[in-house]
Amino acid sequence: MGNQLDSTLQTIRTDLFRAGYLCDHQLAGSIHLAMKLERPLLLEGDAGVGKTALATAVSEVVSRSFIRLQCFEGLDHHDAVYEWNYGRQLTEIRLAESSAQTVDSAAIYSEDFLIQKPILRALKEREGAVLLIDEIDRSDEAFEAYLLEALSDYQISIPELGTVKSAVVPIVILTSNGTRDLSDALRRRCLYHYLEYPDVSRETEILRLKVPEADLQLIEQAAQFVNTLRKEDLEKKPGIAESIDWLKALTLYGLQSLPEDPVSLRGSLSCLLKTARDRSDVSDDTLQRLFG
Amino acid sequence: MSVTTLCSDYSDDWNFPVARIAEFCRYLRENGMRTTTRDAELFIEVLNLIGNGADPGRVEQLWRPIACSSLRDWKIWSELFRLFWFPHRVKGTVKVTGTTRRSRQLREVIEQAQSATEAGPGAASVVGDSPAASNQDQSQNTTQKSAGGASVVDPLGRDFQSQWLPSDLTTLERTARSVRAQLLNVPTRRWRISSRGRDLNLRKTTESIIRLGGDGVIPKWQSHRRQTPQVVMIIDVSRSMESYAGFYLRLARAFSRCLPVKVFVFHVRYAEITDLLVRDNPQIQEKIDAVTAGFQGGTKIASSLKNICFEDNAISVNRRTRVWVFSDGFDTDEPDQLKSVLGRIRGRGGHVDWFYPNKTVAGMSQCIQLARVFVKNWYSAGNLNELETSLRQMR
Repeated sequence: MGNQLDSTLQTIRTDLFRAGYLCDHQLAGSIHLAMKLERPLLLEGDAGVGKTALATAVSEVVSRSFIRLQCFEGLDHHDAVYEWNYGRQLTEIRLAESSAQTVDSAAIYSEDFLIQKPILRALKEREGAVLLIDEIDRSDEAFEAYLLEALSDYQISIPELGTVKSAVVPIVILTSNGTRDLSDALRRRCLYHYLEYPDVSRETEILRLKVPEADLQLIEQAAQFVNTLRKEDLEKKPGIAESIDWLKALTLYGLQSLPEDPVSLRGSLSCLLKTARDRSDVSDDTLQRLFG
Repeated sequence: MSVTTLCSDYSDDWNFPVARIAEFCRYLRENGMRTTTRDAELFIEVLNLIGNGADPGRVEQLWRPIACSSLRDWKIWSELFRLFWFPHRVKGTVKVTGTTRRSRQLREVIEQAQSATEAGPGAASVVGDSPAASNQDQSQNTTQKSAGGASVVDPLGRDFQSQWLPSDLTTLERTARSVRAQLLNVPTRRWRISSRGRDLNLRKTTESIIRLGGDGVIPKWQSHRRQTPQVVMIIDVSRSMESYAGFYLRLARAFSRCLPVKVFVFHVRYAEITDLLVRDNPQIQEKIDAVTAGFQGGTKIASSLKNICFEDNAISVNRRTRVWVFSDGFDTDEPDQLKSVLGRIRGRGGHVDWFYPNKTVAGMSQCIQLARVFVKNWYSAGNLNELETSLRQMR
């Protein structure tokens, strides 16, 4: 059975690779568990390490519809779960009045008048869905508490309709950048995975996959440089998305390898260094040192 | 029931008996992880899923997302797994950091300082060492008092010892409660839509009228957004702070009972003690006391703050974060490093309040002088009276 598991994990990795996402065994294991145990997967990690990209890749692999809920401060269940279509309800009442019919309140509060928002849509998806709750740390604690029912029992309560339970349990992926601490209750309901920056060899593979037109030597050098740069005391460390952007920029310059004089690349570093302090901290001397 | 698995990385064969899984969960909880009974069930479910073919490396890998719920858990998981299931394979290591010296009990230190005081005013010396100072440096430390090192003589002169009475613990808790009232649920200028609000949000209400074609109105109420700060207490337990650390830990305990606080202690490295503070039994008190037992010189304030706030993500720094640093400001890191770290905290919207046992801020170390622009408030906290007065002014 162990070999069977190994082959399952390998299949997950291969399928994700085909979907444009490179993952290691640990991450493949976490995804496998999330699907088998039907538990949400909470992904934490620095910005740009591929948390959101994983959800899209998973949806592609499992051929389920991808539903995304972007969290923000002030997000409530009207934006995330459902809202009644008051306009349509009113029209229905007016029509009933004009034809001298009585209005049945049960009919007014039926599914026909319900506007489904991402979470409800994910629960009601007949083929199952991949629900990405992105940057959950940006939402308020009250919304987080509201999510608990949806995430533990895959059901939500609508007072006028009753409880809506999912037919097929969606694959739920939550991401957090750590701008605020999440509650223990939420964490307890999720499987947890911390995504770290990739090492040089894995980043090289990612860059090869994402920027196939780039020269291999340039890819290796770029991966090495970004990896070294991350070890510097930066406010905002460059993520994988930044590496890809930088490599694309270098390819646009027509480079096949990094030049001898790194200072000539200073203009392109805006792809990697995103704050004023980081830009000023990485001086020409630092660049020379990083290029070795 | 037990599951036998082949083990490639660990040994040839290994069992994960179900009875020991419950024990393993308890072991994880003792090490600060929040493992529940449901997690134990999931461990077993995973073992059934894996069957007899997988090695413990695979088990470790698949149990990890179940057991962990934070970056800290994620980092210590492998070590805990090995220590529990394969203790014979773990080689012991001794890590020595800073200057080694026989650790002293608080009472010993105070007695020593007291005898020095009794010997005459000139004999009073500063107990706090300079950064990374060794015993040989002790003689030179009298000059460093003017540089801002915390002195045990000052609090002793103010009857510091006698304040460790049950009534004073009550005072501490009362102070903590009053700070709670000052800090918690402070209404901000911002509004939020709330069904319990008492003010009408005109824009949203008008929108609803338009949506209903003027036939109806759905009033949207709003109230002021309330802000609950996340207080993070970071306590210096290095040798120069040894006469105050116990006092600050008591304070931390009082605060942890009525405020959502996270408490860290540091000297050359840091440790989180939040979980220890909320539990109340003699063993836990011993553990807390043990935290300050290994007083060492070579305090690394900037590195510790950086690791807590940014490197290890032990806390999330945002505009709700109030970082309370309890330290005399002696730092062996580069002088401008503290400024850089505090600047980053400020940059993310966090507030830093500094509680110092010294006489004045002006006399504190060079790194403090450089970094003071990023500290919102300075609070004198040499003894309970000073602390009470300081906390009353807290906003």
